[in-house]
Amino acid sequence: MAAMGFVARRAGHGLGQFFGTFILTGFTIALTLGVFGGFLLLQLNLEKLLRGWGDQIQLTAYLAPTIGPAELEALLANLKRYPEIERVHYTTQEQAWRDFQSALGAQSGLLDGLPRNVLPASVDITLRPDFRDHTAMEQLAERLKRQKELTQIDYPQQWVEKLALVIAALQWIKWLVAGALFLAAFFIVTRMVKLAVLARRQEIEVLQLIGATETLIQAPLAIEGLLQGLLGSGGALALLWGVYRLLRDDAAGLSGLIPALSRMEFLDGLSVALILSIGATLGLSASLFALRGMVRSWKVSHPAR
Amino acid sequence: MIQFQHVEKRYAPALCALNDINLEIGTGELVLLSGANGAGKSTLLKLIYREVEPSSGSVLFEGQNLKSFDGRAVAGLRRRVGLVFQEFKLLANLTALENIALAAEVAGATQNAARNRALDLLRDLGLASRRDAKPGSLSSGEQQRVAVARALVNRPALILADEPTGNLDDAAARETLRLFKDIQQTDTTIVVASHAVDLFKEIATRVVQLEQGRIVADSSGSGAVEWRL
Repeated sequence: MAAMGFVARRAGHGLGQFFGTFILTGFTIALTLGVFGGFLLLQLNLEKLLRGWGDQIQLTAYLAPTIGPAELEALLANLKRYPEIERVHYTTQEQAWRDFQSALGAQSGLLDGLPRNVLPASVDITLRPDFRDHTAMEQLAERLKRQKELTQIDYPQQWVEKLALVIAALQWIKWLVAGALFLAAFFIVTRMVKLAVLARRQEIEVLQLIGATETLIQAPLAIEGLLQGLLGSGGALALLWGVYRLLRDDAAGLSGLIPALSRMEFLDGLSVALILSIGATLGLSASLFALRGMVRSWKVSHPAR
Repeated sequence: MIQFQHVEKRYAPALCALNDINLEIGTGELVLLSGANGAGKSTLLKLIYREVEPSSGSVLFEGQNLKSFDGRAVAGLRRRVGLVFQEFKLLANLTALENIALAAEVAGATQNAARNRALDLLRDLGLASRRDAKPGSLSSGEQQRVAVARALVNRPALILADEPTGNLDDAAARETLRLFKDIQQTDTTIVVASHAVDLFKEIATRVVQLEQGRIVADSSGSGAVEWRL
């Protein structure tokens, strides 16, 4: 109990005595974790944007002109039972004509003279998110082609392939960049903490001379490192929140260039917890790492002669 | 209490600080280690508080070989040994009272008990009025008295002092001498390494003279007949 009180008092004393260094190191951690968190924020929103684009990927199945109302109803009911299919949207021949006309706009006069049933009726099929990849789409298209009511199946093959590739690449880049940023943060913070610990070399030496154990010397510095890490990661989150609000509320006037900014999302709870725990781990491990070689360890040497 | 058995200490193959040291120091002795710079006095003290290890031979403290001590045991040893240095080794950011109490707290005393013991010692050493002064505002003599108080706060069985009067003027050196004499009255073993042979000879029960890492004389203190090895 006395030892715990001693450790707490030494930690408090250290914070008071080296408050400037404490704040400076916390600021360094905040900046490095801010870059790390900024990347997480970017990655999160980019992935959300890409998955949003994925929602627009659909298969279009064109219906045979001979299909009757009863067959159509049965076909739609059947399609809704496919595990890959999220929803279907039926477009009549008339609707297809109107859509085409509207798409042509001022050039719609080109359609004059053509029969209004020249375009086939179709079904737009939206897939569930788990099946929005090239393989699943291809397999579903093959199965649909075997239905006699459907004459042709279209889907944006290249677009699906590229989107899948970009999302996969983003996942890999996330871990590579996150790893590199973590190493850089660890390197910077360790050096910073080492400087702070160096200023206390004499204190460590005296503590060892008067019989303090390694634990008693390291514990207050470890607590200070932990608090530094939490302060830094808290600062990084505050910084990110500020940047997020700035972008989302369009204070920088960027929404004209990047419309998706207004739909930006902040880091989820898991990412916030990740940054806080990285900060705490970083501060703690950097302190202990910096103490290496400064706190002497005695080992039992060779047996007595 | 302390035994050196054929102790050799080399800092490098060609740098032999101590050579075949055989020495036994009993409880309650006040031993003066004398000799020129580089004779091995400080190394001999460092071997006792396990700052360095012998290259060969054994150093025993109360029958235990110090080589068998791990980190926790070394810390325990140092809590039983009071150390006094020429350069005082006080923490500049702590007051006189806090510097002394720190050693008691490290040994497991509660904050209150540590402060009370530190206050008692400051009173005994005539420094009660300087309790809240930081080392920078204390004279050299006062700093050394605070360092001695810190060495005494855990009621050690042994005091090791390395050139304790090296930075002091004559008056302060005499005051330190008086302190050691008082401490010796409590049956505490004291080993002092010092150039100030004439000064410490007055109170030493034994004088061990070192030359180039070897013991060349071991005699009783003041008035005793000296014998050379």
